[in-house]
Amino acid sequence: MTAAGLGNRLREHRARLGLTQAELAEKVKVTRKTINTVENRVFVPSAILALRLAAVLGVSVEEVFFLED
Amino acid sequence: MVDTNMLVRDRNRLLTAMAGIFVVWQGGLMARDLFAMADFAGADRWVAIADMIDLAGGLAWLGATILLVVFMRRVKRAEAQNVINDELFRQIQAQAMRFGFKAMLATLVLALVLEAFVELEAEIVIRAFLIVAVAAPLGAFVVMSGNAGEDAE
Repeated sequence: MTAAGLGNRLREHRARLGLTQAELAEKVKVTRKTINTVENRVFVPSAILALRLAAVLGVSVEEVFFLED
Repeated sequence: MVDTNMLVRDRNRLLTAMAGIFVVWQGGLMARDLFAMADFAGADRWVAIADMIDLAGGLAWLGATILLVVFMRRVKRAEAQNVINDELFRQIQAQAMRFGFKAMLATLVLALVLEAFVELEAEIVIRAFLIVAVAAPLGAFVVMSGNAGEDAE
């Protein structure tokens, strides 16, 4: 599933915490590729993964993911 | 810390090797059957060559299977199954299976078309199906997985 219509600020939140893709991936127990494809809007994460990402980044899921017009 | 990137990379390398080896192995067997049926001078020599290819392919497949078992133990020891089989993996796996199904349908159509012009041996057709059924999803998985998320940070 491609990420048309779903935007995200994953890269910004990750950079704010000084985490690399690999470090974030380790924290949410996915591969680095998964983080990369989510950031680049290639892959739409499940609700569970979106919630885990938001929890690790210390923000609400709406602050990370949003619908684009 | 377990390097899951390395595990993913190794899995893709192993799957690439397995797809290639399977094509060589089963392709050798199919070529052997084709040459055995063919009626031309020197066919015996080609049968012998195909025999050697399928023997080498069979041995390589055995080796690849052993490597797969070793790899699975590595993953289990690292307790990294859930990480390397994450939801991106499952999505790519499903896409690769769908591609394999379409490739099988295409092979079926090709066989039906060919059947109108030449007499096809059931063994050859079944082997062709087998090759496509194994190699197409494996190859598709490796390509799709390789295309996803290349620019690491």
